[in-house]
Amino acid sequence: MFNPPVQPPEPMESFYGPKPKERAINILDDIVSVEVSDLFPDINERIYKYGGDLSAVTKSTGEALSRVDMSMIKPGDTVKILSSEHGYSIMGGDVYATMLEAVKDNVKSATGCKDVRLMVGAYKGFRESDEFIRRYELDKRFEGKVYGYGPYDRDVAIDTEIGTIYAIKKIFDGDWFIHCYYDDPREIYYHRQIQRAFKPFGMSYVRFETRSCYHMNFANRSCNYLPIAVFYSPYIQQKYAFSCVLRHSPNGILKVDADRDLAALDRRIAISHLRKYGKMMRLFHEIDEAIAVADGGRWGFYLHAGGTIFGVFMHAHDDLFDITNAKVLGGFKKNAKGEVVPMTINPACKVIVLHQAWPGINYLGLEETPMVIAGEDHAAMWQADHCNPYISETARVAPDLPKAMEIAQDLYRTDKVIIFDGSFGHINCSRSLAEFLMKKAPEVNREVEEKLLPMWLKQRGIDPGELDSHS
Amino acid sequence: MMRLQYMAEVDEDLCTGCKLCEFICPATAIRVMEGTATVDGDRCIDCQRCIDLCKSENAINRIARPEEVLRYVDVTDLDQARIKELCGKAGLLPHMAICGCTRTTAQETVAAVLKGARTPEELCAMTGLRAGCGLYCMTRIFQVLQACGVELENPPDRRWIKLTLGLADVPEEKVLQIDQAYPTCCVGEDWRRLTQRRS
Repeated sequence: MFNPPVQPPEPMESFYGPKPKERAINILDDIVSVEVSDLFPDINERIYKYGGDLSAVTKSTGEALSRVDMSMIKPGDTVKILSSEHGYSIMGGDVYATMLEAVKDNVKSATGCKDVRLMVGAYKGFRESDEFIRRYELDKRFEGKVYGYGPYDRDVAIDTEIGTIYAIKKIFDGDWFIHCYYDDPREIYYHRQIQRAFKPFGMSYVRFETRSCYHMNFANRSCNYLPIAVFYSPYIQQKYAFSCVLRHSPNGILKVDADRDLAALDRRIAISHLRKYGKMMRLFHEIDEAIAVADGGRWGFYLHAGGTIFGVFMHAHDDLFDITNAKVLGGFKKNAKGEVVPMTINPACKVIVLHQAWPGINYLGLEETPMVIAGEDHAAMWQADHCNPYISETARVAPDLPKAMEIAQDLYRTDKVIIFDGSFGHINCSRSLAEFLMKKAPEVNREVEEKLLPMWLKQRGIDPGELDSHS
Repeated sequence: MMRLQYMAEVDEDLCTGCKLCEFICPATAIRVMEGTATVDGDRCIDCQRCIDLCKSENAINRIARPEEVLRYVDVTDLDQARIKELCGKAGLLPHMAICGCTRTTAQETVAAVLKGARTPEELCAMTGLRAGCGLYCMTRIFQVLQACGVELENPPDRRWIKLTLGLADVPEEKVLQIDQAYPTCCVGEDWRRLTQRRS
């Protein structure tokens, strides 16, 4: 009934993570793959999935950009294509790099502009951009006009409606910039699908002090206003050319979309995501118990299964799209005793096995879930990581993945195993979990279509009639 | 509380004295003197940012300390009512972790200021703040220093910029406007909760 497991995207070797190892699907017994389109037959479209033909992405970029007015860009201008870190980790990153190159080619040919530069964003590491530039040969693709940037770079002050913030000077000091994004919803537990397409204006395009305000000085839903305030500031608007977004579904890349009107683009994204990711999120919600295996070349929270990140699974006990749920303030909330504790973590995740995953980012609340780290070298990286001192103090260490799974089974006996290995279009998991998911999917589909989706849409002022044109 | 088993060490043969490490150190634990960087183990919080930034020379390594050290500021010998008041002034709850990584609490951070910290760097060296991601706690550091009456001037090299912009600072009239224009952001509801905490 089920397909064999599907080979996930190859991890990128990096200064920030363990040396890539054999993938979990090649080590663990009785792993199968269940197709997203088998779970939800209406989530079946895509132009690209890892291993597919990237020329479809180039073509889609050209089609999207043919509808965009670029007349503001003159031949002698300098144009900066702004890219952000996570795009390079989607399905191995080649798909994002392909879209970025196609944007450059289309802008050059449509405007005659010769100085089109790629800005390569980083989370925080000083070698991240260099690694991307090497891995995707961006120097060659952009004729040497490639520059890294990060949160510690020189600032530019930007006056917004709610006060001054500090952004990265070098990404905005050209004549124009193009917001080249991806709509993989990733951290739904933070952005709640509220103005998602604006987020980099409060995060990757700004200095670390501004990022800190975004996360700490606003609440879970209201933080989404900060990027809007930045985007609509006079400084940004005078340099903004248009946006180009790699559009996702749990099944893979849907298309490339582009628009000067970012709010309109964001609305199209929201309509599509509420239905498609809503179903995946609620399917994860149905999982009653599982051992989760993180197996990829990036930070563990951001590894995908069925195009949905591990972090969403860890928060799937909540309805993340329901914006009447305040959820958290700054990642912490008061418990029944009035103590301030990290936001709660999905109790259905019984054990986390880190087969290969990067430390270096805070996995808030995960110390509540038993964890096993496979490999002594890998564990040493976690022990050196002050982003997660509690994890390194409490996690068990196993010499390899089979032994780690044995320990996990001793901690909680279940045959339901889900692997977060960067996969879109399918979930690599144990046979019993695949059977469970197939059984639950129809009722999840019904619950979303009949009850939740109408509520989520109404909360966002979206007419259900718009679903047909955008999802 | 931060437990530190490691610290940075400079390979003098490789160091060019470029001062990048000085710029990035959150605890001013590394300084270039006579053309070579030197690490002060009493201040180093093992954040490893200098190691990461020294990518051309790779002149900085992580070495084991002779014994584990703790970075922690005791709050018990201070006036608890005063700590609570200053936390409130900063818009924070005393037991609230102001950093998701190190879990350093607001009351410990206030205590560090009451025991002498006058800059973000001194706060980090005393408490271990910014030893993790180093990004997201920054505004809270500024808020605590400000609440305790410490005036900060932005350093000329822009290693940090004092920024405490928050929803609670937005005037009510503006909040109402935002709420009307972007109701999904729930700005009004969150604003009321945050301003209540401050009062």
